[in-house]
Amino acid sequence: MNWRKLTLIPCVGSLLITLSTWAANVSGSKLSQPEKPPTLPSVQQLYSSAQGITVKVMSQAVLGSGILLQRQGSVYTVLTNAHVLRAGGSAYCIQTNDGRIWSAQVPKTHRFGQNDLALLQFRSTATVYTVASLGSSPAVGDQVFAGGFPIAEDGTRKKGFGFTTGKVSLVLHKALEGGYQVGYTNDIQKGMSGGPLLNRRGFVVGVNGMHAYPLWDAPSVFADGSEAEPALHQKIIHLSWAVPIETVLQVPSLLTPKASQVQLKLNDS
Amino acid sequence: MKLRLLVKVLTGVAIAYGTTVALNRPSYAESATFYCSKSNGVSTTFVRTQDGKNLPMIHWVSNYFSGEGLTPQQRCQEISRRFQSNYDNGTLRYIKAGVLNRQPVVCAATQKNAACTDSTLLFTLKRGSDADKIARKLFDRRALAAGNVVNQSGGDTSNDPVQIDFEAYLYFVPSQLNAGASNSP
Repeated sequence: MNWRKLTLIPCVGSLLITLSTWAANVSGSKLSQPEKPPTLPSVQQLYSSAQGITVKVMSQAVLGSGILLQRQGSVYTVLTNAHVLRAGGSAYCIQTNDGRIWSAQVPKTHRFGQNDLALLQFRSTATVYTVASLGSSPAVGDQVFAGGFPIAEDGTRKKGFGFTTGKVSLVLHKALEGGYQVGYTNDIQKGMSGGPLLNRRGFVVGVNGMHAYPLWDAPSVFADGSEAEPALHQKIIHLSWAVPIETVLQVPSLLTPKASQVQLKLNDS
Repeated sequence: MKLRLLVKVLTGVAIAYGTTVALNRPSYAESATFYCSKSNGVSTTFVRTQDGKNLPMIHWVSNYFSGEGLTPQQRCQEISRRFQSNYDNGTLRYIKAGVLNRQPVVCAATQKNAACTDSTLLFTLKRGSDADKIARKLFDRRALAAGNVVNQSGGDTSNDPVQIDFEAYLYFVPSQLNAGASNSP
């Protein structure tokens, strides 16, 4: 397991560098817009909370990102994309924000059907992690924040936590293949799949999974198998896409112990 | 102040360089380019995307199949070229598993149910490989934002041959380089 130790050091180092660089950049930008209600968290707070709930999903390589969805005692459930797990082997690890690496298992029950979602679980008795607060699907025009761990272009060097801003540009009535329904302008890079899409209040409203500008062209296909019209297809490929959090919560067996709490959190918007 | 000047100069150089690259690009601006290059010393099939990113697609790791007469670098170049020609011909839409010359293959396709042909062949797999899984992983690279590169090597824990290092199971039959050549025994 030497590789685990090896990956740990650059990950932590790059996180710190990213954070300090980001903080320096943010101080000069338009953070304290006067029209924002005072109850909203600052963008620094959003960044911190996004970073706290976002994990790295790994097997032999870094596969993508995940969201700390739920804690039941010492067992944590991580939400990610099915294609993130598909990209690697069957032995998975989770790296939490504190740099620790946890061996993770896929829960036996198959829950998400054709939606591009998957779960991993790990056990931590020593450390307590904050899990995500869930919101409801954003509307067109809403400001959103995407988190995750982009990989460097050479596919190996770690870039640390990525956090991009943008707004929702398109919400499809009918989901695309995999359950993708929320289109937004945030830059999503390879590696950010499975990371959270947050609203302005810091609630998770979706799961990142698809980036703009596909490597080559293929029809945009809806979950029902039909193809998008060319004009819509052109809009789709210029946006990043997330599976809305409601799609995750449609699974009845999920989140049962804390269902009431989740319901409360869902009422935020 | 000097630093700022330096930054400007560097930016100028970068723009000039970018322009040169753009001018030298062989095809129209809104197209992708598949090419073979080294990534940390490993021959890697890259794609330069429409928005200017250079993304690794496949690492060609080992000399595992040097007995087939092709080095990893040669396989990388040949298969990058096949990606490019299928892209240019408009046949790179789906990536699917198939059978060609009684060998499992991964090929490009305009339709999900199209058969593999010599011209749509991307690469050949060793018998017994999970071609569907490999094709799916490669197609996932198109728009989904997972982090790893297909064929990432270095696995030492899994017993699944595809997951250990499917790179090691990729090889290329030299006679198939010539489309239509009879290479079946």
